[in-house]
Amino acid sequence: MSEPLLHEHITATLDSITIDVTVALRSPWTVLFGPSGSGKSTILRSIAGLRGGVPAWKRHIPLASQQAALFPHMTVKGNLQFGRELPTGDFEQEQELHAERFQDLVRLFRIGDLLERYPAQLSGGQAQRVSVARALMPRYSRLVLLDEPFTGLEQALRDELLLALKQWTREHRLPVLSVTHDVTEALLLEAEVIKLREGRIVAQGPAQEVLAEERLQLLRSLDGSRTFTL
Amino acid sequence: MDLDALWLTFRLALTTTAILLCLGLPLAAWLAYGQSRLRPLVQALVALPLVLPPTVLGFYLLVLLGPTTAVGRVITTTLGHPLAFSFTGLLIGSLLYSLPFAVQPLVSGMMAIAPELREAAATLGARPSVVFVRVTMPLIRPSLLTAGILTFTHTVGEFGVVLMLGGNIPGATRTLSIALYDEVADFNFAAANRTALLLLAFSFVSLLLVHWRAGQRSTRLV
Repeated sequence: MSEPLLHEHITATLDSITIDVTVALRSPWTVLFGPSGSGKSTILRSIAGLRGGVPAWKRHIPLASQQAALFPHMTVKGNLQFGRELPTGDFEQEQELHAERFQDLVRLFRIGDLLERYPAQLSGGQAQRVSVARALMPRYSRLVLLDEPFTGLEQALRDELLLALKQWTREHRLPVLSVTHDVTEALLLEAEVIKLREGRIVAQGPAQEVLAEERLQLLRSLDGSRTFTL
Repeated sequence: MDLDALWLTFRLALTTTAILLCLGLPLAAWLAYGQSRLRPLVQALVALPLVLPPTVLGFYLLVLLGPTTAVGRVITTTLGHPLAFSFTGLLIGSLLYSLPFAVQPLVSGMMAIAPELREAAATLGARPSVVFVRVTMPLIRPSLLTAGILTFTHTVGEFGVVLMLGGNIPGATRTLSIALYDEVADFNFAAANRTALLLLAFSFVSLLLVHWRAGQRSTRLV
């Protein structure tokens, strides 16, 4: 098997659970899956460098948290351009690549109409999209962390965004670790899944295998609802 | 109206405010975001002038800066004159006396910023100094204004420290509040009334400005 993209041992004690996991990422998109309170967000925060160790700003691992933490004094455009690195090489080429990435993400997340607005003028769903787009802006990221990126969005839009995002991150060779408690999201992404329960990893592998049981339950419930509506 | 005293008071208050805002920002950041165990101690020291009789502070400074202590002697030999009963001495007294009025609004402002914002900035690659300049500073602008106004106003109104440390030297250490005291002692109530009214109006307008800004903040968009 190839070298993992990231290999990190995380320990933490929360109110009710003790987290002790070693996260090894090999796939372009990995999903941390588990019920609320299983330690998913804490693991993301540890990897981002917000719980000690190497400081976050040196890690190059942006985190889009569950609550979109947009800078209230900047417009959407200002927020997106916050993570802009100082050009290291050819200035013009850097500018061009930056502008291209910006346009790409604005199109992908459909936030073109919102660029001049301030966060207080956005709906929850819009803010969430801007927050995820902002995390994807830095060009030298080693990994991007998305904490329940599209919770609360309409399902059709969420599915569309997830698929577009999956393709875009592959094209840009940007590994993603996202958190969800939604089975369909994990299955849709065909991601590698790390299944958590009470601060421990209970399974890791392709979504279809790791979430086989959840998938069956989901299909049964869908069947049930269909019979019911018929 | 004692114009010398008015000009001196203005100069003292302005210099004190400028220096305290510069020193207050890093100190407030350390108090608001630091992890050190010494924080409660420093917090208590910063707040001390709020409860300490100004004459106590003035007395200790007078002793410290005078010829009986090593510090005082070093200063006297270096400068050629003692700091007590000079504008600089008065400035040092004002800096200590007004410190909590500069630092506390800044600490409250910084603590009111959601930690997620600074965290997001850090994960986007912004080093702590960049986070401070681009996220913290713009978001504490109202607190910065409050700190500035309170420090300035409080320095204008100080009396005990000035009298103990500065004495009453026209043009050097005689501020408006000292001038008022003198005018009353001379039974010159008309002059005292003008000085007192000026100080009253100034203090009231300053506080009105602080509260008017605070009122606006609760209804503004950002």
